[in-house]
Amino acid sequence: MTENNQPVIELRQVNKHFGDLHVLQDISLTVKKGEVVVIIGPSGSGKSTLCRAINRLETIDSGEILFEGEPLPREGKELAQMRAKIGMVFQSFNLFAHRTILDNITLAPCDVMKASKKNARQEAMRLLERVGVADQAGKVPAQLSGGQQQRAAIARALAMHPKAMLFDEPTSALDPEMIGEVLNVMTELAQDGMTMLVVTHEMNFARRVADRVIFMDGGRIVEENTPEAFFSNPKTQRAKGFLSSVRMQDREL
Amino acid sequence: MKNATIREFLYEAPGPKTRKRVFWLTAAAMLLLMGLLLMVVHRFYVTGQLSGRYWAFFGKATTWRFLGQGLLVTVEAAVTGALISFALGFLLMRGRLQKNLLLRWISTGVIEFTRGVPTLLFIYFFFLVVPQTGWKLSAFWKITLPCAISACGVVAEALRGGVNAVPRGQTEAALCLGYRETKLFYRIVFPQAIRFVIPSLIAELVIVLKDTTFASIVSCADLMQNAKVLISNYDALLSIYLVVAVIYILINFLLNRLSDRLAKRTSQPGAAERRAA
Ligand SMILES: Nc1ncnc2c1ncn2[C@@H]1O[C@H](COP(=O)(O)OP(=O)(O)OP(=O)(O)O)[C@@H](O)[C@H]1O
Ligand SMILES: [Mg+2]
Repeated sequence: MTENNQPVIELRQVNKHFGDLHVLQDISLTVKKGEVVVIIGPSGSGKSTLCRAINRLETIDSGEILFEGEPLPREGKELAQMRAKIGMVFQSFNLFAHRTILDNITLAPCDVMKASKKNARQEAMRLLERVGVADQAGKVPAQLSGGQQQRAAIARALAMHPKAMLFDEPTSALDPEMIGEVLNVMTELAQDGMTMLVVTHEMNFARRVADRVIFMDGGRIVEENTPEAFFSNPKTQRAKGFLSSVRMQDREL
Repeated sequence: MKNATIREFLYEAPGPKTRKRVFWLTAAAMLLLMGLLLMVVHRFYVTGQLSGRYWAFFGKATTWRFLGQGLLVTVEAAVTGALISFALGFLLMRGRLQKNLLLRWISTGVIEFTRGVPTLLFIYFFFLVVPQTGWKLSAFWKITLPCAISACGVVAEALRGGVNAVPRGQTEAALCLGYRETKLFYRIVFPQAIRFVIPSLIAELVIVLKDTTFASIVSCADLMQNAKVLISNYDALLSIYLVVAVIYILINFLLNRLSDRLAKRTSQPGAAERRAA
């Protein structure tokens, strides 16, 4: 893993409310180049909101979000260009339903980066090969399994040559037998040195791949540590409780 | 549910008992209809409407040519009117979805106004008021324009419904890839929205077609107007109205079939792509 101390994503004292609900409370967080940071926490703790704020899909009330040292632009062309550099993978895939898998990958490079159709196609096929769904290129999303769709969605994000990737529970909507194939793609991506911020409930993935684990609860970062330290010896009562409840669920499965 | 129609989705497949009941109900309904038909024919017979002089002129080619010319004008007016209403409706829908408050208000106002006012009023406006302003319009446009204007608000709302039905995640995914509003709308949202609204658009085409039967008010020689000429020539009201009604029903039936086919084709995403492959 390439260790480099340059921060790619940086949040400083970020606050966000939904009405009376204080969803993000003084969140400060840095993801350095090539780092994989996993965010875990109970439902409603603000993990998705945090992810979406980095892409400005949600606006924030106060604080600062920097990407590659620059504050996030507020609107217009600059914002769009910044977003293009941050890949996003959603829980529900969100592939473009009216286009084939191949089109899904080539659409943005052609429309946004003005890539030539031919180059975009070649690159798309390479990416589809890499995530293992090249044989599905001519189908539309609805014809693919969830795991295939999510891998195609990762390829779609990679086609923009992002400087960092955000994953918001990428495997939560998948059947158990498909979770592995998506996690494998993500693991390879991490090994290739991609800067990643991953919201997930997959503790084994966090343990194996993460450089750092962040535990969120009630809109706050409650604990931040290496995976070894966090999983073997959580410092706070809340993290202990959360981990034991997750382990209980795993045993039930 | 990939290949299921809405009907299959809403209702389970009928069991043997249900099927039997459906059979008997259908039979009873058919009998009732046939009885009614017989009664109508009988009344025609008794009142002399079946006598040769009311029907003989349908054997002449000129009658059909005359009706055909009218039909052509009707179809032209309906198609032109519908296309104009789609274009206006599209603009109004875009206006109503803008961030700019003024544009939004104007569009909403126009939409509500055209939806609230009956077509006939628009036709009288073009027939009586417009000529006084010195704007010279042919009879064709005097019927086509009001029909289009009367339909555009409904079209705008149908299109807006389609746009709003496209899942939010599609927009978010595109934003994350660096799309900006306009391109995002034309490349990602609208192509999906149009699939939802094709049936409503064809329904609107049928309404425009029916509205053009007011053409005789502005003496535009459409099917209805020519039928009226025939009626006064041959003094045969019932037989001609009957034939003309059948023609209208036939066209609208065909349009509805077209709508079903289009809806079926486009509701399965990828069907078109598969055919092309
Ligand atoms: N658009 C919104 N409007 C109002 N409240 C919202 C909105 N989005 C999220 N919330 C609320 O904000 C809180 C945090 O939501 P968020 O989706 O960030 O949680 P999460 O940690 O991702 O949870 P989960 O594990 O269930 O995905 C929740 O209580 C949620 O109900
Ligand atoms: Mg979430």
